[in-house]
Amino acid sequence: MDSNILFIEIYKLFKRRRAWVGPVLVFLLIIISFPLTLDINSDNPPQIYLSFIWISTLLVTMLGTELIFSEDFEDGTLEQYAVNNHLTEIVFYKILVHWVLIGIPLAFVAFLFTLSLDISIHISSITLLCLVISNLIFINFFSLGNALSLKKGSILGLLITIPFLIPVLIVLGKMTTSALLGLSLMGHLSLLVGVMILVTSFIPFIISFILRTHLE
Amino acid sequence: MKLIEAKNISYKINDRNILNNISFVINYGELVKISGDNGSGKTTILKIIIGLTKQTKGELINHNEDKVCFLGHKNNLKNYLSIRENLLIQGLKLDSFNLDLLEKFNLRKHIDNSVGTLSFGQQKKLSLVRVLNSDEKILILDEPFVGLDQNSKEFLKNFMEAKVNENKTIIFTSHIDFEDDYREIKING
Repeated sequence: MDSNILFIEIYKLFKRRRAWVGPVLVFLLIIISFPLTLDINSDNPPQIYLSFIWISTLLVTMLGTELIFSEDFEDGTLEQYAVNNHLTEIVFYKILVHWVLIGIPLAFVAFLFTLSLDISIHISSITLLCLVISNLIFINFFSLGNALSLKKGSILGLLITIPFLIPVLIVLGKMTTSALLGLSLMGHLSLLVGVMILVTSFIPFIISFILRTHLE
Repeated sequence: MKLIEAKNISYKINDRNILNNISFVINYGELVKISGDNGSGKTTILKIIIGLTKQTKGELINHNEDKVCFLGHKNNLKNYLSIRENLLIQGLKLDSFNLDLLEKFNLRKHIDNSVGTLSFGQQKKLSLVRVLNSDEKILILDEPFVGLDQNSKEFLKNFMEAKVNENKTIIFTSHIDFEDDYREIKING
């Protein structure tokens, strides 16, 4: 672990405020506007709001990771990392930094949103935990998609990766139902954590391999 | 002492031959210029040497196990950061050596300006600061003279000669002919 590279990645993303504040603001606007389209006095089950949160987070993390590799690819930074065999390391750090500056803030915004909708603190806390975990999974997959379509526009990569995220959305939906029914969440939570560990362990290697082929 | 041995290397992309049976040897402590027309494969040769690209035929034996300093076509600079910030994220300190370099390159007065506001030549000079700070034994430079004014070209040539005198190896590509003592490998793709 090279803390210097981690610091540089944090600094670079932090200085590009539009890249990380933008997605959080977009998310904020979406979730503010969503209840306005519904009759807030009707008996909308919290499940509707929660599934809306899962989908919007998925789309906003997609937006937030759109430029994760393109800038470094264009200006030759990735080439330098590849020459010095730091490519996997840099991919791992980039994903980590995007999770910290985009994924986690999104989870907290969603948490505050659920609280404002009179959803219980218990359910809201579960939402927060699920989003913190699932956002790391989303960012990993979207980074993979962006690496795949580095020179071809981001749509192709996203079309390939979104289907992989549908099972995660299903697990999140099941967790919501279980939480609302007061059932144990341990099974689903373990599955989510397991997927997160698996994805975070393997995807950076796959991405670095893909990036290397782009640099040839 | 041999550093790199290329034996009949060829490189083909989309049925187009970029390199055709190229053989050469580069020894430690040499100043080597790889020359050739546009599209003859000079950059490809460098990429094969540093391991970014694999030749489609032939063998390349690289005896080097150390890190190399590579300057590619791209400047490795962040347009939204200032000169100062760019140097810092490249791990360079703003000590008297680097401040003198910036002065020589006429960049010191722009130190807090974003790199995006600099001209191509100024950006090229800034990217050379990393190379000029390099401690690596092997420097691989792709078209290092492009975009430089006459004074900066002279400065870079002197730097390269000084490095070779310290027994460092420099492999570079260039269209420019100059009178210095270097070995030339001509590529005709």
